[in-house]
Amino acid sequence: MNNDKVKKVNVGVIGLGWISNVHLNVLKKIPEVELIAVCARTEEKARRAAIEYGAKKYYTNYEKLLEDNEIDMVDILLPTELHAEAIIKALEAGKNVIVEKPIARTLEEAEEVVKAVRKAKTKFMVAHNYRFWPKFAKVKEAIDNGYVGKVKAILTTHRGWFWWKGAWTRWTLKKESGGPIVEVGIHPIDLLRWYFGKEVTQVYSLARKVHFGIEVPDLVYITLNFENDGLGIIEVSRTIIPRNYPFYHMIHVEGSEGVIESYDSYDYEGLIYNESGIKVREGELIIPRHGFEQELKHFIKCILENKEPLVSAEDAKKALEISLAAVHSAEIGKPVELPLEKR
Amino acid sequence: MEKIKVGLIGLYNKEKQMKIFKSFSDDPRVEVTSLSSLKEEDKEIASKFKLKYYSDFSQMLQKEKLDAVSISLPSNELIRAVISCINSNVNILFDEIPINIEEAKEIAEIIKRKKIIFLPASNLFFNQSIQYMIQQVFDNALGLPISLFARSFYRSKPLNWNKNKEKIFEWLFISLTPLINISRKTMSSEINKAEAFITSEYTYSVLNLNFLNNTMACITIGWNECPTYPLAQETLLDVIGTDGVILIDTSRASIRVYSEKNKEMKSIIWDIEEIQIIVKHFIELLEGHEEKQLLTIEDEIASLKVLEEAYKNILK
Repeated sequence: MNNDKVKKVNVGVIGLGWISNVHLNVLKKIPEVELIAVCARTEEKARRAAIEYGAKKYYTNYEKLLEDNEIDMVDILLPTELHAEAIIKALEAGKNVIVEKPIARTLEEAEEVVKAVRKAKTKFMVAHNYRFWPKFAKVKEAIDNGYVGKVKAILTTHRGWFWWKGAWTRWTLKKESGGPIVEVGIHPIDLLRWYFGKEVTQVYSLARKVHFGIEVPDLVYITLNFENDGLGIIEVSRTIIPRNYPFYHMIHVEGSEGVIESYDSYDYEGLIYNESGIKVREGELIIPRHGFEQELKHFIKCILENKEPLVSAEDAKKALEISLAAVHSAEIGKPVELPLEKR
Repeated sequence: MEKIKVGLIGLYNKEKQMKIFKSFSDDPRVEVTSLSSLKEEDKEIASKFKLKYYSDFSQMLQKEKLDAVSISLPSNELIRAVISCINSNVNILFDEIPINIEEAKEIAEIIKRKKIIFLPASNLFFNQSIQYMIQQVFDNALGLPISLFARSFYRSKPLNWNKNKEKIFEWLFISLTPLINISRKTMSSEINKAEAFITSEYTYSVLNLNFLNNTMACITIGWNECPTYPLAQETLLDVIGTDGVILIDTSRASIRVYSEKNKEMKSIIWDIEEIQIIVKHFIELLEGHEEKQLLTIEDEIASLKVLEEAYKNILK
């Protein structure tokens, strides 16, 4: 740990894909963070990122970065199928680890990660950033404060553009990624499990593979049955083509004593009360406020104050299990019971 | 030109039946002549609106030489009235569908034989935004339709909730039928698989539908007493197509169409009540445009079959 006047955590970032820009921009803003190194397979990419974000060093092999004793914490932003191995190596190297969701590609790998986390003396968290998204966090607060009584049903949508024409082709592949359900559907899945505070007993997916060549469903309605009653309904859609369509997340909670509605991302007021329709600002994509900053700050705080992170390894494994069950249900067209056999 | 003569049978759903009466009365092609009701107090309503009052609808059918009736009766009195009207060659605007599929089939068979117009007066189905949405999809504004996501919430609990399972499912089926029909019309296809889930108190349910043309629909419905909620009932529908999205909020006057083809978002407001649309459509059918009928008893039967299949395990 850095022993300057302000207690600091020395950070290394592994993987410099699209999401790394978001993480690095946030890390730059946190006073308790010292960015030590970045790592990418391509030297030029790593060197440029080090210059751009002010890292002292760069690596082209993450194992070398893990040998760097100056680094306390790693932020793993590698493709999904590489998560488990990198997490386990980082924990064994004594690093605190935050990793982009999902925890791993398979349940077996997730189990290995959970075991490694139990053995480790450092902190670990999977970046289920929806829990830190201000509006979603407020919904949780309202539920926990009993504002709507017992939660009976929650509906949500994760609706976004078709954007894997370029670099995100990996998400169209079943073996490497698991597809949109596992890559992004896992966000609302984790959120609903967190909101209900209960386990899922059964999963059903109504799903379609819309875009040409995709190996996994990219438009799916997932029904979650929760233990001791409760329904979760999630739309995961990565098929929306119109450029003017906003990145759309809706949460609608039905409780025994009330209702919560959160239409985060764009025309919140309009959807609730506006009588005269909605106008979208032409040519402008309205990007919602996300939870990356709150999430990374939370993890840094957990390291500095020796606290347990909000998302446990077991939580992340459960979210993966539900996601994989949803993929399986889509394949067989029937409800799938949990716990799931390892796949 | 002779006016279309219309009678009213029953005031079970009084508010709706009176709106239907007003819409008929506002149309110069129609003359509303009479009202039949078992309730003596409804005599005053008949008198107020200068309608002949009958305590027995059979008498009204015999004496008034009606072209059409609007029926609003409780479920146990429905079938007898419908059969009487059909036997008198009177066309029917019908408030609620018979929930019993066998009864519905019986009616369907007779009206087909007798060439009677039978129009289910489904408010939601005839909502202007819904009809606009169906037309948009039909006109290819969204490319090929892929899915429909419907959320319908009632901010009160139906009578006898938690006491009578049969009654609960009657409410559930009556509420879901228009949503299934909207899905069928939007997707221009029939349902080949349905999977339903419901909470233990039967207050929330989700119905997942697969269509023969590979499209799909997810329908969520719920009842929740929530006095602070701004609306008594709300239905929201999103249709996703290959080239666009349409969002419908039937309660808050909002239709939004996002289309890649047009590169713009349209926002439309409507101001015509469902009843006006229903009555106008019924009159159009009575004037000889039967081929334009948007909703038939066969549609209702198709939806009921889907519901019976989807909820059979739950009903057991």
